[in-house]
Amino acid sequence: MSGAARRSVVRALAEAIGSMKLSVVLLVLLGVLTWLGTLAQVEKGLWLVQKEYFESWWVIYEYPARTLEELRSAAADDSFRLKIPLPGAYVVMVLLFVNLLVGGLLRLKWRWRNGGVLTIHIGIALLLAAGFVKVEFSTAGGVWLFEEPADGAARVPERVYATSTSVSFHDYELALLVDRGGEIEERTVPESTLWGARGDGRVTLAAEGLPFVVEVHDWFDNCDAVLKGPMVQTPAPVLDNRDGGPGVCLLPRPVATQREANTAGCYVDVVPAAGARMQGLLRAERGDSMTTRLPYDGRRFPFVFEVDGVRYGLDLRRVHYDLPFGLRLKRFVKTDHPGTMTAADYRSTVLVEDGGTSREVQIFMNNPLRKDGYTVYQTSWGPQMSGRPIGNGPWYSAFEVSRNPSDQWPLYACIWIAIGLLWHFLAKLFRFLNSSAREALSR
Amino acid sequence: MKRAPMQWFLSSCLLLLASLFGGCSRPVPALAGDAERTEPWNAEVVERLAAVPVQDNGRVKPLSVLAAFLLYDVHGRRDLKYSLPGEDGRPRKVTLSPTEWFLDVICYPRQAANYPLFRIENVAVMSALGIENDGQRQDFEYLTFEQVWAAVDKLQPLVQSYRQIPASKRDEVQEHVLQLWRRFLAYDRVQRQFTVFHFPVAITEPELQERLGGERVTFGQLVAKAATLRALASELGPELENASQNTVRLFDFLSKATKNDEDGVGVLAPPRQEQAVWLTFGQALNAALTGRTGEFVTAIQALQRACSADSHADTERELLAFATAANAAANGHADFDQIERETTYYQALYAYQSIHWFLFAFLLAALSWLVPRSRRRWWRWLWWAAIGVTVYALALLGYDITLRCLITGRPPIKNLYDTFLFIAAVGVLASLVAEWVIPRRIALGVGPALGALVVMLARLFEVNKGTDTMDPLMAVLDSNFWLATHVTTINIGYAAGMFAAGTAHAWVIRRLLPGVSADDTISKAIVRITYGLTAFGLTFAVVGTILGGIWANDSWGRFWGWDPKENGALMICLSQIALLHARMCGWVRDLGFIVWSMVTGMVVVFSWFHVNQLGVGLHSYGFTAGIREWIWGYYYEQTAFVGLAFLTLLRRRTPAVAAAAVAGE
Repeated sequence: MSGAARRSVVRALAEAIGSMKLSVVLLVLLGVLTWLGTLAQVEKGLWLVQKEYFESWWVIYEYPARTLEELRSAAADDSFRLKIPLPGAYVVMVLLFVNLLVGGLLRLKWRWRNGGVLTIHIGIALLLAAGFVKVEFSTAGGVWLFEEPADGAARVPERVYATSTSVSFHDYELALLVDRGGEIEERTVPESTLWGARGDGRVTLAAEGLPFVVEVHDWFDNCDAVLKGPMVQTPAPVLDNRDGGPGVCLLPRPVATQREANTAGCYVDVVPAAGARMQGLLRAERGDSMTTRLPYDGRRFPFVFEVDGVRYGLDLRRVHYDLPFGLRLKRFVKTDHPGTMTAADYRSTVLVEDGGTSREVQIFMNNPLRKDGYTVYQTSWGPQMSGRPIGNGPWYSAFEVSRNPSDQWPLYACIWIAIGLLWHFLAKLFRFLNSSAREALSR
Repeated sequence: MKRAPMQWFLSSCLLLLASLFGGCSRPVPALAGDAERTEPWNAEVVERLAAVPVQDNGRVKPLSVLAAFLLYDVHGRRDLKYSLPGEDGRPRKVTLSPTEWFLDVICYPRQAANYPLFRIENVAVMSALGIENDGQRQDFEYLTFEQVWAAVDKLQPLVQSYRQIPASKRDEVQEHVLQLWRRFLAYDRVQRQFTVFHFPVAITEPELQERLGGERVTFGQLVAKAATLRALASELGPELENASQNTVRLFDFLSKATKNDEDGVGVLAPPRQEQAVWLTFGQALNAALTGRTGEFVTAIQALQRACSADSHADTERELLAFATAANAAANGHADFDQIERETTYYQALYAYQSIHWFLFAFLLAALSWLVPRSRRRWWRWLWWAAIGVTVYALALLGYDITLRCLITGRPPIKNLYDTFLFIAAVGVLASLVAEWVIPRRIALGVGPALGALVVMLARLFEVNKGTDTMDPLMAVLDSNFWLATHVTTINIGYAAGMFAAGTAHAWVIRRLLPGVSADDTISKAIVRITYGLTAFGLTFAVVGTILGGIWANDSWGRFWGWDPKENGALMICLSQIALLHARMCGWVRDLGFIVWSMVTGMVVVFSWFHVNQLGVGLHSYGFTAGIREWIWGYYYEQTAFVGLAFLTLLRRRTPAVAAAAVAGE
């Protein structure tokens, strides 16, 4: 192919990718996806819809929509459903971004006349980039802290009122804890590697240097760990109880639309290189941040075993994130509108410990703490029941801790876009005011 | 004879209108039982009592506002009507304002219990409760408090079982039963407070009579005799061994009275100014028994005398004394400037007045469409008149919004009710600007017409929702900065989107008129105006949406969460951006632009109201019950106009135009 021909192919390609007609198609598609994704939340809940519609490469729209129960149930689905395959919003936004770069920035003539449009497009590109960075590189978790005992003398374990770890609301990890004589070594695998263990599946985990492999099976998205009594019917295996008495098993529960209200569980078989296989079950904890989760919920079921004289633990838990600073709750205060139970304000006084130094900050609604790339928000408090406090304290306070490198980008994008829009449309208005077209229309 | 069909048409229209109005006026229900109060309330008494401050839902407000929103909630109307047998045998109609009705609830509870109060929108509810229904009316009926009270034993088990059913699975009757129960509780909570004034305690023992001063003592007297009661209590002994039967009965009454209205309205300002929570009557009794005194005791005594007075004139006099004492107690607790401002705000009804002026402006604009252009002077005069009246109406509406801001100390939009007023004002203002840019009397007509419509909807919404529209904000919204920036910008975007859909309607109507040619300049002008409104709306919708994300990032920890309200805002932006790009690349022309603008109007309504109906997401503070029909009505109407817009395609190819098109090729 000659150079000229190649150039013309490239030009044609750029023209197609950057064409305004493609923008219209993509914008409409994104609008329709947003609409369907909004309606789908009624049945499926936000988390699943977000994964299905907005963070996916493609999605199959079904009408009538299946409920969560129907989605998870093994029974065949006989009823007629209209099925329309659509690209996922993630793809559409990536394409829009490329379309915008090529058509709206590179191929657009950089003239004063186009200044407004160029400014808007730069702002939108920044906004889309911020979204991409957020999806790919951000983490979010919760921190639950009780008020520090007033007299300063610790009567409870310190982790109850001070921490430097935040815990994910949604995602699980399987942690292997190795007891190295007082020091605990941790290795984790993300939840997605374990999904194969749903239904009849089995997932085998092995690592160099470990004298055993772990087989994971019978994964449930929401379950309880119970003693097998005569009334308990479960499709899951029943394990012998080490302490004697009835066996233990996982009891599947209906899957809630809010993912954080579910508690996953699974079975693990530890198969040592030599010796008998050991069976155990694991259950995580609830991840609700907003309402019902109590800190340090004791219902987590880890599995502890010994191979070759070394103690190991397997723990299914919400993903832990280490923070570069410590948080210690001094005080939590909730103020109501007079004569009502509606909160007018709730705020926490927190000691931020960084290296050897510490400082006191107030965290309340619309006033988060921003530090070292992390943002700490006030989200909830307790103990409470539907907004009413239980008891007279000490209170606990719940925070969301997120780390998002593009945290402030939308603000800059907003300013850019506002300037661009005003520039473009005001320029158009003034051109129209002095044009003959206006004369013709107004006569 | 040539005019005959026209006359026939007009007279049948009139007949239809008359029968419509006839159908709307329903017989006023008669008062069940005898009237205790036969004289009307004195205007001065009503006016003074209207401004008495009370505390409810975390806010100090005038008594009239409490009464009004309670009446809207349970009665679904702005006034209460009943009829009494008149002297000539024909029923005499009585109409009560919310404050007058509330004064009856306080002073004449037996009469108030017989008012046709609870609105039943589904008469099957009455059968479910075993209440006789003559079957004459299918739309709605009113039940009295007495009737519902008598049916409580049937109502309660129904309510308990219906509550188990998820809201989306309940049928209409079940919904209405639950609604009746909620209304009954809302009314009972308030009326129950005042019953303490109507049940005196009999004192039979002479010694006790002497100490308390009478054979029957009222609640008000007991509050005044708190010191005596304290002394009495100290004499009872640790095991109540010294208590006589009458004393036990007396203290039983006291203990019940303190609990009677635990969940009630704070009617009296507490004696110590630092306390933020106002006293119910039970709490006031408690305060008196623990040795606190103040104006609140005087107020209770006055109210007691008003309730047990022998004549209506005495009642009114004592009510005035109560108002004076209640104000004295509230002095220092309540910002009287705001109480007074709020009382007059609700009396003046600026937004309501603006409806009439908007309609008048629309009529002037419509009249100007009929005047031929050759009558230049008339034409100009009407144009200026319509502009002037619109500006006046807009000023009224603006003043209304300003007063709301002053009373609440907040930016213009705090809840869904405020959005109506704000959107109407911004939309009319944008229409005036559009009229200035392209003075074709299109925006001049569409602006005030839509302005009137939106303010009317605001008033319907106010009654339909039945909760105080100035109630304090929940913690997450408590940020004047973000309310002023994000909330106002996004609503300016809504307004422009709605009004662009409105001008699009004008285009469709214009194109369907006989004798309008394909290259009609007015149609072109309408497209231009719609374009301008879209561009204006897009600017604010985009900025508002992003600002919303920035706020969400500050309060919930994420910029964007695909929450329904956020999605709605995004859909408006996407629809308008796609429209502008489609126009630029030539995919849509005039018809396409108009149709797409009406689709955008539906997207705006989806975002403004419909997403709140879905019952999911974080933005559910704008709960809106019972307006699903309005939303669907709007969708149907828009869809119909989209259909009509496509009908114009049929006329496009008139022979002349087709010939021109062929020639052009």
